[in-house]
Amino acid sequence: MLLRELPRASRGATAAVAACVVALPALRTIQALMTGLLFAAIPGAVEDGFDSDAGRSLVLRLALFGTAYVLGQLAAGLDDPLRGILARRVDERARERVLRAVAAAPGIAHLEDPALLDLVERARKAGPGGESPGGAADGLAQLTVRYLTVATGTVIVASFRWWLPILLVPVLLLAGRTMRRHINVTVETTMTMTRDLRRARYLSDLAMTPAAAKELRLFGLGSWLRDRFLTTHRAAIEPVWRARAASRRRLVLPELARGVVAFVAYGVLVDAAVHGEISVGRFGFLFSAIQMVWGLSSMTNADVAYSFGIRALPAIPELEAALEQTRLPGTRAAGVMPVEAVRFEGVSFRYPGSENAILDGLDLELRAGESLAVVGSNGAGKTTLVKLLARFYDPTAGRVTVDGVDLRELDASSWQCRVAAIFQDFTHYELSVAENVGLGAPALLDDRDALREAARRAGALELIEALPDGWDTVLSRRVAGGVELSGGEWQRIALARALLAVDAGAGILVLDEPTANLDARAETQLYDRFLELTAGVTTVVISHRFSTVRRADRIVVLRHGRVVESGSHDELLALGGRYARMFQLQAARFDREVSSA
Amino acid sequence: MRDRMRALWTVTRLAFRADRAAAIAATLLSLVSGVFGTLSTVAFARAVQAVVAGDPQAGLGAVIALVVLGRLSFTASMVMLDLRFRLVELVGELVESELIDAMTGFTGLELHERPVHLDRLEVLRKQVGNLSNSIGALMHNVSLWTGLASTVGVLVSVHPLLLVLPIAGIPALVVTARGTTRFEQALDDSSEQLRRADHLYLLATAAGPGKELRTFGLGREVVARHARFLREGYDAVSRVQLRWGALAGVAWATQGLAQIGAIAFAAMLAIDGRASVGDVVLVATLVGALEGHLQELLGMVTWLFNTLRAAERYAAVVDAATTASDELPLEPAPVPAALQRGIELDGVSFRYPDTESETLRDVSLLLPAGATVAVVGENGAGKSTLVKLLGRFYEPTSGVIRVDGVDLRRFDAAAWRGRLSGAFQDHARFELIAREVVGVGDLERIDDEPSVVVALGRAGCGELPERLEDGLGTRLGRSFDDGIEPSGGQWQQLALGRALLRDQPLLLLLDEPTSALDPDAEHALFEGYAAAAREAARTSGAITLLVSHRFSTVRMADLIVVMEDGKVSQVGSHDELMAAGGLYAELFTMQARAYR
Repeated sequence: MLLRELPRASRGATAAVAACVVALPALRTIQALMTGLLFAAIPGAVEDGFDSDAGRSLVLRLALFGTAYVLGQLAAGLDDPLRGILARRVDERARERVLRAVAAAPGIAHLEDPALLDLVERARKAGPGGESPGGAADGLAQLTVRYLTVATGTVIVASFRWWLPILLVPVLLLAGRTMRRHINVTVETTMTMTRDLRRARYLSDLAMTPAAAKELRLFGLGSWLRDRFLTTHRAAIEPVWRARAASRRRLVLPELARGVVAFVAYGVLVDAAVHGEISVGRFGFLFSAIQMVWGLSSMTNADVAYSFGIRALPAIPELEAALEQTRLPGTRAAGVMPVEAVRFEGVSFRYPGSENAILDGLDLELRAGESLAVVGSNGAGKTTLVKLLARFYDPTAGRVTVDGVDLRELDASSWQCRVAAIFQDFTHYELSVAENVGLGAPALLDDRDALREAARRAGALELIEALPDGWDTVLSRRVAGGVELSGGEWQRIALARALLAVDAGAGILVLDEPTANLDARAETQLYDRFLELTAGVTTVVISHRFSTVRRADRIVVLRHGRVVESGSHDELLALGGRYARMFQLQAARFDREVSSA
Repeated sequence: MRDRMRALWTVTRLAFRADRAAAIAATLLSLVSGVFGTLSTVAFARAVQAVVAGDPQAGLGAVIALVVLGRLSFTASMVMLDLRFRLVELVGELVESELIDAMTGFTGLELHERPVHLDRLEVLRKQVGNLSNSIGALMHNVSLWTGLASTVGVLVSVHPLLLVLPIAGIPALVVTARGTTRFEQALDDSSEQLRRADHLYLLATAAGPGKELRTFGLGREVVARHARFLREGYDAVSRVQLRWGALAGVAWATQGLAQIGAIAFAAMLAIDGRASVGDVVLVATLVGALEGHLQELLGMVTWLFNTLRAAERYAAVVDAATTASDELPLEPAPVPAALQRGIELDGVSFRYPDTESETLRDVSLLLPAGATVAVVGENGAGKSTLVKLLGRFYEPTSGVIRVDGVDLRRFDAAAWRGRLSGAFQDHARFELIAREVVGVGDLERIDDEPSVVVALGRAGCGELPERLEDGLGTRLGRSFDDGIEPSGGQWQQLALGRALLRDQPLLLLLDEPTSALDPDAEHALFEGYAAAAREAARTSGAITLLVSHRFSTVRMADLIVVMEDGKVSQVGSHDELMAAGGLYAELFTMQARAYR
């Protein structure tokens, strides 16, 4: 599978590395041959001087030896960077395949599934040292050089004594395997321990990321965290030590066997040479050849890079297959839906692997062009409702229809593009402001006027134009010249993004807690414009803030996964139910001033 | 160079501290195993001599020596490998634990908010592998250099002039080392692109951003950008690597000419009768061995170099953390058991490091003992900064904060924090057992379930454990496959529970702790918490400082502080401020309109 990946990743780099892979063993063999010939010429030259036939032969052989040597060095010098280039190309392609597969899956259940996320991570780097598919390619090239060298050596040795390879190869293979197994114990155990190791890693992450810095100090958690890290890490690593000790004992016998065959091989060779059966030159050549065969039981970083990295590769098709399974049915294009309404009909929903029904027989109508506010306490199912509306999930029971068509009949991606949504956990792109807004509609990315208009309506224009590089300012402190925005500022940028998507033609605007981080003035400005923003746009807004909610055409109250009240603000107040109670609870706290204002 | 030597020292010490016995054993073995290689070469030369001389006895001896030396060398290398694995694991553990200590050891937050430091830390953590393998790199270098030294020793024993041979290798080593530097430099230069690619990769494969990518139809765009950033970053690196690889090849090839010269020289010596045939064979063989050593050095220099760079980064991170915690307290003072007068800010100004403008400007303010003080103002007015100064996450640039008349800086930071508690809008999501998520608020009671239940009750979410599958024993957080992910509001409730676990803090800092909560939950919080706060205020003069945008909550405070542009613009009770008719009255009325 890796072999097929290589030319797809880069034809040029693969060809160049392949050339090195062939050249290096060839040059090595030539060098061995020349070494032997050199040895053979030395006694004669020493006897007769440089000015004899033997002397001239030494000089010639020296020159040939030198040429092979120089070429070998040049190839070695290029081999390393070429393998590096190939490795990076393979990594690029692996990562791209993962991203393509992940992006093509319309749902998000897979992104919340740890097993799948594990595959995503593994496709990028499989080993503890970050060994990647590219590392496997690099390792493979080195291993091929090794085994080609071994094969050449074996042929040469067989030409001397046909039975010698029969003795050498199995023993060396066995010894090599035991040794690689021994090393894999560490590799393997480290990998199966990932959960415990990850837990340890999480604990040290906590200390080093700014997110928890304040509380770690406030609660004095530093040394507790370190001790906890140490015990967790020890618990993870001690089984590795035990397994390694057990495997070490299995190394002894193959090693003794290797000593015996080494003795036989060199013994036979020296014996033949001492008794004049072979020349000194051939002796040197054969000696090098035996050493070439010896590579069969060697172990280098290439083995580690290959054996770890190669595990990353199956993760990709595995991921692609798993994601193929998550493909949601439906092929119809969403066009300009909804023109009439989106309806939830007896919708129930449970998250995969969970027994709690988040939505439980929910009925709801969202009419085209109307704004709908969804209220309810934490955990009532508000965000889940939106996830189903955007078809990140299909309902466990019941159905969602748009203009009478079951959402399951629509092509999921096509429908999702109809929905412009800003969620509570909206994305902070470490890109320019222009891109942070523009990514609401990639088609309008370069249309500055459109961006400006969306930003203006979101109340973000002033803040954007005050940035050091204006629209080109990168919103990340980790990038040179970049700036970090406050929570409220980010929220306005995100809102502008959603509004741009609406301008570009999205049919439904979803705002999940759009004012959570805004101060009183910004919040007021936003809801004062709420009617302007949502005029004619089918809108769903989730909010705890009645200032926003009451502006909606219709309000539904969610409780235990069902709609318990529905109506306009005034209707719900008159109803005197849950909504009225929540509203009055808040209002009571402002009451005195409201009546006197 | 001095930095490099210091880094080398740091790295060596790390291994010895992690496991002294293993480090000593590994070092001794690597010294010995280098010599094995050279002795094998000598044994081979003896074998050639025996062949030339036709001496079976000498031949047998040489073969035995060859086999024994080869096996010894291999056994040593296997033992070394195991020792190295162990040291990698233990040094990695040690480095991580020291980094934890370093990054939690300094008082303020400054380093956590300094991008240069965070960058360095991030790169370093990716290289912990390098660092923990440092002893391996060192040992391998040691065995390589002992091998090299013994080979050179044998060469010089033939003729001193052969010392030229290894010296001729120096230019090649220099080119290699420079190539490595340039390569690292190129990696550094590309790190921004690569980091951006990583950022996009993580975005595209995470659930939260995944929602947006889908509704905005960004899949293709993100894939394309990721590919572009990655290609740009990698291509720059590849160009440098290829150029210097070629140069290194040329340098090593040139050096090879010296080796050919050495063999010719040895032959000349033999012709002149100043050396034996065996010596010429020995030199010709050692040339090959020398090539092997130098070839390996190619890789080893790089390896050691990476290790040293990681070590330098490590030293820099630890140094920065040590410097950050270096503070000269004024005359130390004990933290009072109870507050009498309160906390006073006297002309306090503050500017964040590396910024131009002051976030707080000449703030003077008394937080009276026993009071609940609300701080309001628009985004960027300096509210959170005020909270950070009170928690001693930063020291004022000028002015003084006094606690019952005592300069805050005279307290031991840990002792002061022992009497604080707090919850923040950007609270930490500790992915631990639910009980511990709250329990870390007071480590002594981390496993004290009844106390945790009480704290959650105070936070107005006593029913939270029932909603979790295994109650307080539920593992929270999706980083691990057996954890469940609470909602944003639930995380916030847990953070509040954590803040309210401590019974008698002198100062409770609440910086927009309820932004993700619904009004019901917020109401329950203030009901549940009010009783505890009143009790604390009575017995220890405890102060609660609350930052909020919700005026319905703010108005309940005893004292309201209005901040504008880094300054305190108004102070008073709700009624006073409404009567005064400034920013407070304006913002309050604005929000109240929603309930008209």
